[in-house]
Amino acid sequence: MTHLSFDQLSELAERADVDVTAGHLAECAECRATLERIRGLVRAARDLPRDIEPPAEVWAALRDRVAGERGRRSVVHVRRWWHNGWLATAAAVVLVLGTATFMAALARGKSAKAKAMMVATPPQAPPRSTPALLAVDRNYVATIRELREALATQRSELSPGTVATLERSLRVIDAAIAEARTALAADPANQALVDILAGHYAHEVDLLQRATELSSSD
Amino acid sequence: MTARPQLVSDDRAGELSLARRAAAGDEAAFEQLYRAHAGRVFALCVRMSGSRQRATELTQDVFVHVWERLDKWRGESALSSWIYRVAVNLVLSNARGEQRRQKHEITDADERMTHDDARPTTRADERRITHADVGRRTEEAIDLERAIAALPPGARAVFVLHDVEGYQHDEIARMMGTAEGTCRAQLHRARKLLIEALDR
Repeated sequence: MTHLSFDQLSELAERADVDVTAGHLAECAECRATLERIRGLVRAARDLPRDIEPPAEVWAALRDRVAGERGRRSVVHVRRWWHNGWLATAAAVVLVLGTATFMAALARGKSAKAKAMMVATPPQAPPRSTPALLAVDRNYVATIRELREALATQRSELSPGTVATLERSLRVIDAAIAEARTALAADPANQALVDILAGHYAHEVDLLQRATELSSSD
Repeated sequence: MTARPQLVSDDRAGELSLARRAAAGDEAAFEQLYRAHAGRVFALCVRMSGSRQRATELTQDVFVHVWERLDKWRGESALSSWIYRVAVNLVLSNARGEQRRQKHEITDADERMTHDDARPTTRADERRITHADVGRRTEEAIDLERAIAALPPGARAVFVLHDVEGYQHDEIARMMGTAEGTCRAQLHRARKLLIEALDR
């Protein structure tokens, strides 16, 4: 008698509709016994406990790992935010350069917009302190000085490339501030110039804040 | 043939809320989630890896993975099913990596198919499942756990997924990246090796 192979019996064990009273199985006690043994194994496997309690140290180690990951994520978040900050700064620089162009146009009276904003009094240099200028300065200059001092102490924590980029951006913003101050001194009643100057200051504060936060997060 | 393990919880909204809190950094919520599912994940890891120590590491990896992706779980399936699938994929992925690293210990799939005897486990005795691990389970179950741990990795994975966990051959083939016929052959081989080991 040719017996069924183990694989054949294992396949049959998968099926619930196998008739052991027919065919070879009806005649072969050995194959029936093997089939029943396989089914018993499958039942035993299915009855194994679903849960095995992990050692207590698993949770402790997991908690530490997640806390570590969370910490790394927050650094990455700061860095990403910082990266985005650079993009924002780049946009600000474009704005500053655009403003500088506008200021030049204003001085030369070449654009209609510039002409619209131009007042009868011609620009005067160097700028003098006016109430409007003093008010804007009062809001920003002290903050900028403090941030610059803080950044100076943390400068060594930033990469040379970052420092170079930062300084380049600051130079651009400072140039725009100087230009706006000159224009505002010449036209102290011009609210658009006040807003432009305040915007440049705000960009500088923002840039310096990001730089100090970056250096302290590294 | 076998039934898919039932979900731990039907309270999908509660699970979603728990998952959101855990994803947002609520440690208590994450611990609650861990406590609810760690037993099953650990059992899977022990049986699939054949090593309690490795299972300890894998269970951590599974829950770190879960924590990192909790915000992506939208509640379409039960949280338990989602976590369990993460565990299966990670354990299989780990096994594939281990296979690549330890070619001298684990032969390729074709070669494994020709073996008749259970490959003796290379794990240290203390890493194997012990009586303490299984508490008051019967001697038969203890013997079966030990025999499963001693199976060659490929056959063990298929046996655990099919006969213990209730996955179908096509699902296992997809998860393992092999042909369905290979899965069937591995299952038959695992069953044969187990019966031989248990009847000794």
